[in-house]
Amino acid sequence: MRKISRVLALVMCVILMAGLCACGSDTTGTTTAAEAGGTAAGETSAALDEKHDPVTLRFMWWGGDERAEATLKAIEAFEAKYDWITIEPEYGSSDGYQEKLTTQLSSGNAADIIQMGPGWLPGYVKSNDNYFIDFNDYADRIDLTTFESSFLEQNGNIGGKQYGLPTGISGYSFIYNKTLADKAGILFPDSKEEMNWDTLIELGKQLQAYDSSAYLVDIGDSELAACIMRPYLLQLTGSTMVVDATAELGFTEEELVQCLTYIKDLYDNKVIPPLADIAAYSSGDSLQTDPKWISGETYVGMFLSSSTAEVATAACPDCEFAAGYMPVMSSAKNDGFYANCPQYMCVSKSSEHIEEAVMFLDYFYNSEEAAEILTTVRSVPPTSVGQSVCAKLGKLEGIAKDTVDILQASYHGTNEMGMTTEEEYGQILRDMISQIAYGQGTPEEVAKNGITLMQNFLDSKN
Amino acid sequence: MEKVKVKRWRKRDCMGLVYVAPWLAGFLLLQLYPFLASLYYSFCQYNVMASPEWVGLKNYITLFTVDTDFKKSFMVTLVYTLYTVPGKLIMSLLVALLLNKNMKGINLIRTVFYIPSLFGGSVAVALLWKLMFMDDGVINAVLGFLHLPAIQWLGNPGVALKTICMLEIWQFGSSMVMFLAALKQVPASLYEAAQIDGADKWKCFFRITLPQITPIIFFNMIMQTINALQAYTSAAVITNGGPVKATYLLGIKLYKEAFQNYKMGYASTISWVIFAVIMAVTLLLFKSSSGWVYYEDGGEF
Amino acid sequence: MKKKTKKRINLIITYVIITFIGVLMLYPILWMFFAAFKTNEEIFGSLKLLPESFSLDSFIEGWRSTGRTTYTDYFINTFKMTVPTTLLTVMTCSLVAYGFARFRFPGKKLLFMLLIATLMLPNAVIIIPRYSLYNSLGWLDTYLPFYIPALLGTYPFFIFMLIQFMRGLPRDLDESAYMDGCGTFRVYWNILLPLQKPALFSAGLFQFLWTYNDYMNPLIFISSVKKYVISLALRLSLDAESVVVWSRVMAMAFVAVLPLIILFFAAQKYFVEGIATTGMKG
Repeated sequence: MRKISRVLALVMCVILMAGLCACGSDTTGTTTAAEAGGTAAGETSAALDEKHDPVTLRFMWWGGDERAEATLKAIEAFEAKYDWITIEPEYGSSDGYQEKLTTQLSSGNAADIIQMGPGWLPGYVKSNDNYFIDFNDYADRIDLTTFESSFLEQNGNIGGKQYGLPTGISGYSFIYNKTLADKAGILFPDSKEEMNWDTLIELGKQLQAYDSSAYLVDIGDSELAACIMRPYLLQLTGSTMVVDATAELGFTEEELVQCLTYIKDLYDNKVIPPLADIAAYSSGDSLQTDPKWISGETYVGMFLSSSTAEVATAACPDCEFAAGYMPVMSSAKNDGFYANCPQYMCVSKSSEHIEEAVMFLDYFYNSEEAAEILTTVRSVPPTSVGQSVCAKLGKLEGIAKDTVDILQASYHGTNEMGMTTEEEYGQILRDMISQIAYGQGTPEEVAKNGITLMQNFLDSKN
Repeated sequence: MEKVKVKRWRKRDCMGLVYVAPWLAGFLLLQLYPFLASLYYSFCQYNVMASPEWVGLKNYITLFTVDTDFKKSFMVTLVYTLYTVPGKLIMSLLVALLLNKNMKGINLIRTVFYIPSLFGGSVAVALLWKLMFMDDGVINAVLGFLHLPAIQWLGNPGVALKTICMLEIWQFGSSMVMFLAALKQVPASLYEAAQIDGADKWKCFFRITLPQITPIIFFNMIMQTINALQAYTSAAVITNGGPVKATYLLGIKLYKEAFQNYKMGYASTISWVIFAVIMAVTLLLFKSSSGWVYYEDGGEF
Repeated sequence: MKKKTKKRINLIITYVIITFIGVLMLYPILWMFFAAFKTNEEIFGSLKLLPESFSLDSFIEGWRSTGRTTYTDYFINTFKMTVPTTLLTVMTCSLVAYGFARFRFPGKKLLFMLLIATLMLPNAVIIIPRYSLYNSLGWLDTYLPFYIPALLGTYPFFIFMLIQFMRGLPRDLDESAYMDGCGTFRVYWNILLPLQKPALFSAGLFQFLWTYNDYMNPLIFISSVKKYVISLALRLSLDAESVVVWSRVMAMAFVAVLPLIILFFAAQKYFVEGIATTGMKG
């Protein structure tokens, strides 16, 4: 009896192991089956067009429903045209996208066509300049002349190599609730020259006099870093916050203290709401979900990336919004604000079908058909083709376009890209701002501590 | 006779290895490599994309001497653990005792009590929790109705961590289910015997119920301590570590270092420090367990 | 008579406490359900639980997802991933737990320590080496990264849990069975397993629930949309750059949690059914 049980247990074990092996072989089974299916499908298309072997491309992007639906449609239209190419979509939420991309890149398993965050690209390229192709090498496959050349130089170009193609035009902007501003008698300047940093404080005081529970600008720590601190220092010093070539800070401690003192003034004069009041919304880009923003009676303006302007204004449908000018100091060495892009498209260098991937992007950027389908799902199109099609369709209207117009017409600051846009550095800026907001130190103390942290960061990069 | 018995025991006991074999195979095939790899990374500068570069103890030295956030995170995590582990244990045990009855609609009631635990870190719960605890949210409205002052649940650095702990304790369902299962494992004969001896309800609870479920109390205590020291989700989705790092748990710091700052080597260092802390606490708990955990198998292990 | 009133008062107090806590527990699901009928301004701008109007649009639109793949696909995928994982986990983990709980083999203490130790290292730093391991095994974009670890019982949580439950059962049960001439597997199958039902069902329930809700692992291991599971699908429309129709997200979050509620409701009679009602066989 005991013997039997031992045998039985052994058999169980063997079954478990066999199960493992069986599952292992199952995978190979299914993949071959899938491949076989692929070839079968390919054969039918090859019958139509005998010159090409079937090609499958993986295309990875993030975005909401509207973007997904339009992109899928564009893919279908492309596949109808080039019937030997199949594009496997891999879309998802922005939540975890970067983690997934990093993991895939490190294992050499990334998609062929990749939507990329502008802030990530310098870091990826610095670690390995073989991840992505230089689009200049494929100029015969994709027409890059439809982009403004200066725009391409500022966006996605690192060391003369075009690793990314901008998907649209956007930039940090200012919008305001015209309905409330009119009611409160707040008049925003309508030119860049009349808007400086003190104007914000003056207008803020004016609003406080009208209604002490109202704030001029709804802003959290990440927007304070992006739309106040960075431009302020850029204007003050004329240099980016980190000079990548020397890995040194582009500003002095005194200049940082001046900037932090300005932010403290914004809080002290109640131009902007205490961070504690908006804590529930400021983490995770969701200031527009604040009931006070929705009601349209507390906050007048908002600094944001123009690619999110539609989202912010849609939250409060009863109000009329307008695009405003961003502050520039009178002696500014740099505009501090500038048009850039919300994301890039890259092609993986390890792809087996680089040419087809580039062909798809040519279609994506330069064909009227694609432009009609995609319109502004990745903000204002960067190519002449996209812009003229969208203009014809009446899609180039509204707040997003207004903010981009202001940026392109009046602001030509330096696009800060590199170490300063790395997440770790950004976190130091946001932490300094939170400390000022919560009164956990004077601007001098916060600046001193912050500079030590930034120096540590720079040291760790060498 | 004695000799024969010992011999027979040995032979049969070796069968244990056969039963354990699948896990051992899994450990060797699937888990060992990632573990050793991360231990190796903890001595390296490794940004995920380039290959790891050996730097010796540098990461450990940085962690303990330069990185001021680590100390802060560690304290936050400690407080979080001290709140959530006892909180969840007591809550789940009490509710399990309350629900371990035959009353009308008990099935439905048990299901209702488990609902919060069904969500995990779902987007819906994160949003709901934010909306409930925001300044103009339901909770403050209720407080206002009771003429109590409103509280900045998420904005006040002194309160935010407690709010996160509450969310964690609110999801006590899994421990509750285990307690329910454990309560059902207590042999009814023990209660019958006690009743004959005239023991009252409290005596029954302390003399029979509690000792009988100590293995599961112990299990829950260990697992919750491990989970709390690694906690990430609730603080990440609701406050993202803020305000002013009041909820900056080690789990969040670790995740940020690994995937946002691309310092996988440094993140591995933090992980192994967390590992060491958990190991120490667990060993202490195991050492103490012989004093208070009662096993029906006579404590042979 | 007096005793009866006392009992009644006790019962009433119990119900009051249960109802009070129950409301706290039930609020989220109710809120989620009603949020499915609200506009974004209602969700964020108003405290009211009830929506201003009822319409099934958000359920229909939400289910359709992006059109090419719908929630029908996501649900099928989720069950394809979750059900085998759960069954394999329960099967292997209970065997391994039996090995640890009832035998005194050489190196057991060490192995047990290893088992518990694997729980102690935070997951974030193992993701990348594990990904490259699974990549070299060719498991990416399949559900094997879920099945195989379950088959091999690399879920120490459940092993440890089942050990604890098994150690709560007297050894006399095994001994008398051995006296009757049973082998080790018979003892496990005929005697311990039936007594373990509550523990096995709760382990299965947890594994189902956690695999179902898991976001990080499917995110990393599954890449093609046609294999997406619900946890991934629920976040598909979340993006800072587009207006999120929250009513659809809430509608689908509600629909996604329904199978879990039903499962729990149906399974609970097993994990509250214990020694008292299970006869001993063998």
